[in-house]
Amino acid sequence: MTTFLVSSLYMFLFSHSSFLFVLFLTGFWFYYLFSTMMYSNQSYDYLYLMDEVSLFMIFMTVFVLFISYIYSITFKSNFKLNLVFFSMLIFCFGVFTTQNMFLLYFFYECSLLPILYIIIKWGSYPERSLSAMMLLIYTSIFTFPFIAVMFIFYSLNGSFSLSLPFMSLMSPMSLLASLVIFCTFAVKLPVYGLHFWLPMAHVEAPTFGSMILAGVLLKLGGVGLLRTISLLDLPALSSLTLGYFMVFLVYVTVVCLFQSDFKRLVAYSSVSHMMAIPLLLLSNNLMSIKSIIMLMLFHGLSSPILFMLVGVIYSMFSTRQLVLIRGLLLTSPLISLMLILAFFFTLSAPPFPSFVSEVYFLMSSMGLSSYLVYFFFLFTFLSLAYNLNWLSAMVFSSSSPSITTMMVSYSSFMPMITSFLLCVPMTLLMYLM
Amino acid sequence: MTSFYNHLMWFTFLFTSFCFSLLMSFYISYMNQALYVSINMFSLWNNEMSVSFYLDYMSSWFSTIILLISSVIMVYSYFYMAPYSKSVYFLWLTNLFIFSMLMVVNMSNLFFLMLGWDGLGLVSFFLIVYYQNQSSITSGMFTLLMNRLGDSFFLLTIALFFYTYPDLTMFSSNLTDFLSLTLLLLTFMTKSAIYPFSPWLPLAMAAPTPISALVHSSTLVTAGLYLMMRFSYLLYSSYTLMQLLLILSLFTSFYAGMNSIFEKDLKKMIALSTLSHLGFIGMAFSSGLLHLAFFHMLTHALFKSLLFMTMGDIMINLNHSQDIRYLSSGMLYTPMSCMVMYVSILNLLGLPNLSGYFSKDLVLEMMNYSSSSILVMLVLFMNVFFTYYYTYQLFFYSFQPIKVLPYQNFHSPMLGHTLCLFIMAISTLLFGFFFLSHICSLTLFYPVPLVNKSLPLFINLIMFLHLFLNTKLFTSNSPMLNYYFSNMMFLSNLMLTLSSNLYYNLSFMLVKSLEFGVLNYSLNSYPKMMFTHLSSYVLNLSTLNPMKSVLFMSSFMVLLSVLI
Repeated sequence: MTTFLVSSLYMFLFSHSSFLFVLFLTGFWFYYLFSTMMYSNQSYDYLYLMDEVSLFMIFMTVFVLFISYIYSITFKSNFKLNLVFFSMLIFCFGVFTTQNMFLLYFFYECSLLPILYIIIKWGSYPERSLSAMMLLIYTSIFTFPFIAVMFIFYSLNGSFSLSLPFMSLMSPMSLLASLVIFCTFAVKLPVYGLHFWLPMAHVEAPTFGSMILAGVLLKLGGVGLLRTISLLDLPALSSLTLGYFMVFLVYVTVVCLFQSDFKRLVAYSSVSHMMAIPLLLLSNNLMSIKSIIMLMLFHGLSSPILFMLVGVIYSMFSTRQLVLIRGLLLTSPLISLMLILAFFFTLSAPPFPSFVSEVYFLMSSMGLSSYLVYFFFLFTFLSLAYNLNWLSAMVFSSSSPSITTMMVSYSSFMPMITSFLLCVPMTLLMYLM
Repeated sequence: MTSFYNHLMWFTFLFTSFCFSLLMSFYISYMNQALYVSINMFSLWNNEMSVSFYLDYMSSWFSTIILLISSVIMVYSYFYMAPYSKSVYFLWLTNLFIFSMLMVVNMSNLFFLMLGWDGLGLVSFFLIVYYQNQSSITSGMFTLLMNRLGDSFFLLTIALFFYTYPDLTMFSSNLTDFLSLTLLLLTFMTKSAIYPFSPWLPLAMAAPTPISALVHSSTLVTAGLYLMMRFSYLLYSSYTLMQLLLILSLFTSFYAGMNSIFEKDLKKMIALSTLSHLGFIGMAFSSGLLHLAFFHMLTHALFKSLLFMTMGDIMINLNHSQDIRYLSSGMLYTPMSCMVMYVSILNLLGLPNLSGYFSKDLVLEMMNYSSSSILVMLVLFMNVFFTYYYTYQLFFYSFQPIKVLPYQNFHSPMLGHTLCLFIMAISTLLFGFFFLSHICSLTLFYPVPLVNKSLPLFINLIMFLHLFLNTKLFTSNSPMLNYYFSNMMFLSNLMLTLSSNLYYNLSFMLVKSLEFGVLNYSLNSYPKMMFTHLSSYVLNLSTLNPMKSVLFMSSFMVLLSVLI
């Protein structure tokens, strides 16, 4: 592993051709596949953890980085871009595969740096400094208490290891500690209330930045929660926060309905998708853990595609306001087909595998509270309502005569087609679950 | 011309599968068999999610009828949709729609049933917004939202079923929990537009006519009723729910008939007639007449799709005007379409020995044996009266002498089109007798007194004589009354305007006060303020003179050592 990394780093630093990153990415993927194939019977390797979570998350990371990379190819500064993508890959790989609490924390914090760089360097508005600051404040405010919790964990167990033989002996930590652990990772999810950095960062970030942000970075929190689930005092946590999650699960969808900016709407919709994860975590059973992985995987596939479509539409219309983009079905049938497919995917309509994750979500968390039925009813209904809002506003509305036919440029057509085609084998991963 | 081959290809495909399905249903119903095919898709520990098909006489005959209607629609839509550009889009979506309906009919696992169920709602949205004008978008969105209401109920039903008994296959899932049964019934009621969920049905008329013919006869609206019949083994266990359904569907039938008297829009009137028939089928189902209700659903599918298709043909000649008063002198201008229309109307009226007679009058007779009160029977016969009334409206207007010149666009369809409609007409005529005498072996026959037997025919005759002698239809000139009835007795106002306004204002207030108010202030601006304060404090500290900072540091060290 190390020799591979070093040699590829060497190759990478001295090359200016950006396609080498793609080569590197696929090489990395194959290396991961072959190296884990040998250990597929065992749950962990001495170097990195190889289980269901890490497998699917690595697949997703490679997918997201690949499509966001080929979307960003038009940028001129190859070297900096490659460096950012490379460091993102390393840090995300670290979080997804580590079995060590300290390393988890280390990579988790490090993954902030590339996205901050992306927002500050390639963002287009002057407000990006504010949004970068908010991102920094929100995501790091709970990590300082987390260090203390980490040291308590070390002093109790004599090791930072989170791997399975040790986990079975552990008892959950106190309520305060588990709240700190939960909040540390829930900020990155994000859970509603700690989410204010997300729409700001998405609006300011360039398209490939928000693709990475929505596709990979939001999953870091979920994976962190999955790794530390046995440290959390779930009954106490659930009695404290269940009502909050139930109410705000519905409330986020209402917030989504009132967005007029397409990119902001997609950002809020990813908040509403991610609000399912704390509920699933609290109803800690086999099916709900499976459902968390599925939800994260399919959200990681659908939201980068949606953000890419936002970018393409922005490059065509120079606006992201829903009321200004009209009648796409006649002016550009290709983009409207893509939008419809993405609509089905995010809506979790049946032919798409995200439907399975949604049904599993409803099934497995039904036992938490009997009131959940009503909230789920509103949630599923309103999640259609806000998705239908953008779809019918942009695609099926009557087009104004001022809009002529738009040509999609190759640099935006190629990534779109590639991402949709790549999405097909990725969704077939569901059968591995 | 490529569009012609597209239509031909889909017609061939659907007609071939119709032939197979017909043979299959003959086999199944004559051998009295039921086939169960199950394929395991994926499993979660011991819970297997399997795609399972259940083919008995119900599902096979229903899918045969669907395939017959849809293969005729393929030929029909070549004529009807020829002027429009998005022909391939239209064909693919229509076939997706038919496919999802076939999934609903044949699938027996609740989880995979959702595949077809959700597909029906979503694809119908794309078909309704086909013309891309404001009214079609409004009605499409409303239809989709109402269907999504049903989908949410369905998702919750799946979750509750799974939560109590983790087997989602029909006939093996087994529970009598009242909440989940209620959700199940509500799901099916939204799709088949039983009373509180009905205003989407006339709005869905914004779709092109071939789609209306599909939606209103055999696909979208009957999916709910059909699934009620499939899940009757669970639903019949609750007497309360069946009574509720009886009352609601009787009222649906009643108010649809009432509205259709005042309706002058051709397609809307037929939609309301569909609604009243849906109520009729729901009523028959809820009072226990399972197989008769199914039988009437099939005959209704045949004659209603025929009626819609002929109406579309006439409407092309009327330059797509949908006013019923332009229908005058139909036999003179559009003899073929009017002939076929009369066939379907006579079936609808239930003239003796036509297919509507066998299914509808049997239900009316068997209702005498049900334990429901005299009030139910009274309203039922009121509904029969309304049915005769609005059907005779079509007769009446099509025999009117011509006053204006409505026929502007003479455009005769091709031979294949006419042949297909004739085949449909003949099969509609013969289907009732055939099905009753050969297939429907599960119905029981009771003796009926002469009064009950002849009452529907008597009402029919009275209506006909009344119109014949009076030569004038009842019309209302009161704008209030017309408004009241054209908005489905304020139900569509309530569900469309009022609920959206209420929802919009309420949630806008909520978002403004919480998302952009309290939370934004307390979480967003407060840390920012703290951050700036902190950074200015650090800045001040760094600009102190060195001696002071040494003093600070030493005092801090002392404090630390004391603490340790």
